[in-house]
Amino acid sequence: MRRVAIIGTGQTKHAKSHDDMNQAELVRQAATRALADAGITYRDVDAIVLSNMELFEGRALPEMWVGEGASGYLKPVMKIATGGTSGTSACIAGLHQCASGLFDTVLVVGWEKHSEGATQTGMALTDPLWDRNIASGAVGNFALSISQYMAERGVTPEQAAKVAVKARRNAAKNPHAHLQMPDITVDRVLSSRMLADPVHLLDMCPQSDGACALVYAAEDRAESLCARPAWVRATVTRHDQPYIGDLDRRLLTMRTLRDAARKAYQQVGITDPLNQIDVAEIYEPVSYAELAWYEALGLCAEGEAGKLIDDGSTEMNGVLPVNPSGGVLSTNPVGASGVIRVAEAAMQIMVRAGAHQVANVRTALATGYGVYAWSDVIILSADK
Amino acid sequence: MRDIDARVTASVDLWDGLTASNVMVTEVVGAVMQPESRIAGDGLLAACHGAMSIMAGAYHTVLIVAHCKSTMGDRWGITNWTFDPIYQQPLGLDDYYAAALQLSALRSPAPLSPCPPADGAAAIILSSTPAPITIRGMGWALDEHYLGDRDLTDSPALRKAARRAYDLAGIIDPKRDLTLAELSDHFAHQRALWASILGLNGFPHLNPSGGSAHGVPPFVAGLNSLIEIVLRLREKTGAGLAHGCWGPAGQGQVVMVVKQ
Amino acid sequence: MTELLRISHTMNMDWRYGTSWYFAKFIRALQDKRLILGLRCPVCRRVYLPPRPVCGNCYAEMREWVEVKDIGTVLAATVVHVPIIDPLTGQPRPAPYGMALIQLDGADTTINFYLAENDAAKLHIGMRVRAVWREQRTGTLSDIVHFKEVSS
Repeated sequence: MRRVAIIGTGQTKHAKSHDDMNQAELVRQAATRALADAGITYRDVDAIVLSNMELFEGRALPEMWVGEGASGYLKPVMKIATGGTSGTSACIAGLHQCASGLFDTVLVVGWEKHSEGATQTGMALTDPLWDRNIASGAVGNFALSISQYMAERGVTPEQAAKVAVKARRNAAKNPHAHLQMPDITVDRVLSSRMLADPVHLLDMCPQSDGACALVYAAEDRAESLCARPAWVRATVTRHDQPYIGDLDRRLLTMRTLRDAARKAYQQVGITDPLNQIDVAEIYEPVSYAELAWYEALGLCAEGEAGKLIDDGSTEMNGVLPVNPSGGVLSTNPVGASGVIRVAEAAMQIMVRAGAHQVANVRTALATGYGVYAWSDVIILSADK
Repeated sequence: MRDIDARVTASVDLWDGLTASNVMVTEVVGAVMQPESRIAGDGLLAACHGAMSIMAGAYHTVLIVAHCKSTMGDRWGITNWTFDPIYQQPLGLDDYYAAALQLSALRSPAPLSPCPPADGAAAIILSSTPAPITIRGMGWALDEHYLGDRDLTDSPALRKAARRAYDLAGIIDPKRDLTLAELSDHFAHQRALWASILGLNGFPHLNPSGGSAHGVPPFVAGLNSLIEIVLRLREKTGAGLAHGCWGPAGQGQVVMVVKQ
Repeated sequence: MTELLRISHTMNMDWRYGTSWYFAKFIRALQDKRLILGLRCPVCRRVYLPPRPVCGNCYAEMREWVEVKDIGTVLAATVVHVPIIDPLTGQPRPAPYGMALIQLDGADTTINFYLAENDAAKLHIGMRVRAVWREQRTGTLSDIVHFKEVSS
């Protein structure tokens, strides 16, 4: 495979509501920032991949309107929509476009503007014959899976709250993050409004307006443009069955993530992820999910996730910082969230993460999550 | 199904009346515990996506599936949602009106003639294993969104997409170098328009299948055109051009050249 | 500094969804006979609810119908406290309400449905519940009001 690296990233400041920009402008801001970061202009962009869950904004074929914001006029533009994994799917599609040899420079932009349209209405457009008979919403579904996870593993609400605290405190050092709470505590999380047992408001990800872009370049182009490109070393995608009831103890087993991670580690030669990976950006829609996925990602033995958060291993100064950007728990424009994971992982390798930079990053992990149990695993490295 | 490494589907949530509608086809395309991606756009674009994944060395064999049931909803009303919400959508514009404006710009006396509505699906398998019919070129491009900015008698997007596909495939003189072409003419007048931009004025082997006039759903049409080409190239060597378009008056265009 | 504006649209869309042969059978059995039917995979023998054309794990077509009981075991449970749009009414469903993943006797998958109980302290994984049916049936899951605990 032709070697491809990320040579630039750009994001908007993610917020509850961006009344100052329409969707095309949101995309344009992220795209131009990514181009500037990459040291190129829009003329250098050979192809564009967009990611967005348009139904949430009450749109269809949004690239028709918004594509121009990414310099899409008369360019090859493709739009991906795979639920929550849209962003990581788009990053993988963009990678393939560049690695195919057809394009040397590919721009990927993901965006969502939840403040426009009715996300809840969009989310209620489920299978009319089955899922529409239940008002569960994302939080209800997570709460169900979490009840099983807690019963099997004995993780506590305090441990989950620690994940939420870590995320929002990290986000306080990330100028793009939506929810920045430097003074958040476990008590504040546990006393925040109960959404669905046991998930509190502060355990759950927000809905954000925002866009994130990254630039891929191939081989020599990447090396000539970027002093320290983030090379893409492995990408694995696994999807699963369509109904929540099909999945056996979804969060706990998360077979898609387990298999994707196993395959990705194999491709790169990682046998001890906790020590061999320097930073991870995990797509965690709810605090408990991050704990469950420490195990699925092999960062600890089965049942040890609680210990991992308790002993600070995944804090900024721990052995494997998880979500220095604040994660999805701090910023969640759905179409962009997957792109943000990959972009933030790349920023860590390129040493462009500013105040939330982790030291000595050579290998970074990014994951995508969507629908009930879809997973993307992406490994980036400073080494080609 | 075990021999398929990955799947790419083409479908659009609003036409399917479902958020993340591709979730509902995961099992039937054999994508459980497998890689799967989804283009919200034409199936021919999904074929390009699959081809690039194979060229990148990520997979050997990819299944491409496009599906749409356009009779589920309001055929034209649905397309109003694709127009920008600030200027064009509030006017009540839809693909029918956009095509009518295009026809008017062409100063054609013919009546506006949309293809019959249809429900359907199409699937192809691409592989890196050598086979008689190969993909030689592909190109796609997006035109301007605001109808008033466009010259509706032309399609710079199609021209650009075709140039790219022709260059990659070594097509110098389309009328001479191509054996047949299948164009997605969602409206009858678009057949001649797309043909002229593709350098196929008067080309005798245009739409041997009858094109979209026999009824093809949106998003399936481009993949269907590729299948029609492949079926004919199996009988006789040569080069075929497959075409897809989507969006108002063909704002998005995709072209693929295959040879036997 | 120019004042920022927002413009509002309300869009409506109607869809006619096809039920497919397997769902048509499921709906008729539910409506006419108050029977819940699952489909069994010929390869892994798993009984699926809801029915669907293939078992995703085995990629095998399923044609064997299995009667599933309206009594089952709660494998996951929660109480929802916030307003969530009920897809059937388009309005937020009055909270709090109990919800569970229930494995009906005879099925291998679970169904996501409402519980009669909305006090979290009274819910536990492993409890046995039975469907409380509506008088009039339309052939959908909503023919069940909710599931109520039964002593086994």
